[in-house]
Amino acid sequence: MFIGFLLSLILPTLVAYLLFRSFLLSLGFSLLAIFGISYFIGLGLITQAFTLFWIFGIPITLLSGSTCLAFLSGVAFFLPRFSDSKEIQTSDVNISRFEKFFILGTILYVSFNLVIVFLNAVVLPVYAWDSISSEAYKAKTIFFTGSLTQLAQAIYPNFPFYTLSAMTWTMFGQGVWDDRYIHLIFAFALMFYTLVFFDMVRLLTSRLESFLAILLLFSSNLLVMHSTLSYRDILMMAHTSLCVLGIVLWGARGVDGYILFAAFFAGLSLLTKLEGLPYYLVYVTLILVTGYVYRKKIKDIFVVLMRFIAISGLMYLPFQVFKFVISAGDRGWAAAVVCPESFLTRLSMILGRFFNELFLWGNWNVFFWPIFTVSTIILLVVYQKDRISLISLGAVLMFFGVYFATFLLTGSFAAMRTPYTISRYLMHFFPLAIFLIVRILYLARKDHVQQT
Amino acid sequence: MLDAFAFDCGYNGCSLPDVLSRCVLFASFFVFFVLLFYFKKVLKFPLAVMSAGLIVLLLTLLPQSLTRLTKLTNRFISYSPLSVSDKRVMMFGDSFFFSAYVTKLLPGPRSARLITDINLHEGDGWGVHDRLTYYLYPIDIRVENGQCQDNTLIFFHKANAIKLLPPGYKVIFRPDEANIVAVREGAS
Repeated sequence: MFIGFLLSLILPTLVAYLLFRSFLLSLGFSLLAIFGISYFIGLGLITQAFTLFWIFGIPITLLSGSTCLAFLSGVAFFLPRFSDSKEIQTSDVNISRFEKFFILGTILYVSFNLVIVFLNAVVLPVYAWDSISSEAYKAKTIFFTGSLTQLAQAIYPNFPFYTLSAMTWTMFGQGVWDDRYIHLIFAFALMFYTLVFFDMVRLLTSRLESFLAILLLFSSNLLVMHSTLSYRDILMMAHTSLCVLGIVLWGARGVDGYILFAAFFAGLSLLTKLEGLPYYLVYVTLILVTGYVYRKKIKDIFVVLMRFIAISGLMYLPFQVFKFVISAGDRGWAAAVVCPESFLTRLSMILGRFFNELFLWGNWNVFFWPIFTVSTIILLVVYQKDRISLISLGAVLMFFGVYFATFLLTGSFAAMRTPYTISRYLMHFFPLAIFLIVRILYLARKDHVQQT
Repeated sequence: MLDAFAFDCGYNGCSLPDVLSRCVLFASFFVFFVLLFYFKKVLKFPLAVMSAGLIVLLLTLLPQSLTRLTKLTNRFISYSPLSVSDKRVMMFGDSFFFSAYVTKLLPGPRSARLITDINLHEGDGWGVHDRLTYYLYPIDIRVENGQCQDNTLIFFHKANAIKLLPPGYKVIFRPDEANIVAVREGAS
């Protein structure tokens, strides 16, 4: 059973690897990172396949899914090869003895945490409330009926189903519905995300900062815990942050391929959580701002934006058709409800809640957000000309803004008062805050090296 | 659950771990300023601040990781010797236990009506309903589906369930007076 479960995760990853390897190599990613990216895209292929099967009346089964993957792996051999697949040199500075020790320590710390995560992922079957009601149950209906139709009658029918299609697919692989290994989907997501995040930070800073970035990633208790639960937030974090880093890389390196990369992850974030919709506005704004900051031609920005919208929109289209057919609409996210509290009361409560969850609760290392605040101040005072940092800060502020405005102006204010709700949302762009910290450190270090 | 991992002062009251974590917290700030004072002599201010801050963060990772390890190891130790069914019984109690029996007795998809004294739309009742819905499936107990033909009745935590059973139904599972499964006679 376990072998079947593992194979069902490996198969779409390999297909995505075959499809995208050449393209991703041309963008300077390492093979390990490409494998990590393939994991997320592979699960996305399963989601798309399930939706298209449903639209065209094909039963959703192991056979239909496998046939689709076999077809896609065949397609991979006819795809054009990207000839410019040269390794992009990163601006590494000489590594001292202390830094070698630091890198070794980071590898040990991250490995140790991953062992804890994997042990805890398999020790319990699905148990969290949301996991059961809005994920596992819906996945079970697909497993038994071979159709998405019953989702229309389940709780939150308008929720995207990236996670639950992954659950159904792994259960097909097992051959029987038994949720004891389902948490492993999320543990693997953390492991693969670490590889990709490391590589993307490496492309924008140096190797030392990349190691620091993954160390900071594992400093969050919330993140570690969520990789042992079947909540969608860790996958949302991966898709959101990789999309934004893709846009930043497009600006920094001027290679349009990064926008295609970002578009894939924007599409995946739309298929993961409803928050993908407001985040999409952030991505589009970020592309416009990045184009402006890097003084690109308006025509070029327009072309790039159209490509981004075309790819991510095409990925979202089947799900939108599904929602239209079952008449699910977009209710459930930020429904406008009149709140009994006055505007000022709400404002003070929201500020207090954000302060508590950022600075006082144990979801993050107690020094993380203070260091982020200090980094932001240093950026604005000393490195205000660094466009990469400014764009990243802009992204983080826009994500904060999305939630701040939502809580302030809509009925989601009530949801904010549930403990850890804000922290779960903050997790989606937590890696971008990490990136900003390590980028400022990188700039400060470079400054120091140049002066000595 | 998360607060016990690390420096979560004030959320769970002032227990000993909280007091210790506050001590570590204040000590960390002290270390930060000492480091900053030292680094300022040899480094430019931005690098000095960043280095001092990150070193203190790395130092606090140690107690944080130890707490995390203890928490997760305890969970692993207490659950790993159990079978998967026992884990589910331990977590969900009779809602899993009951569902497991019913799905064995009535394999395959069917609709059923759930009758219970538990308020399924409030507090813990929500969780009970979700677990029953999940574990009973492919027996579909959702009231929203509009397809229930009442061929199967599931009484769960319903006082005097047997007295409420309409005529023409045969009891197929009756662990106690409040939990009964009945199917309409002649129905498959």
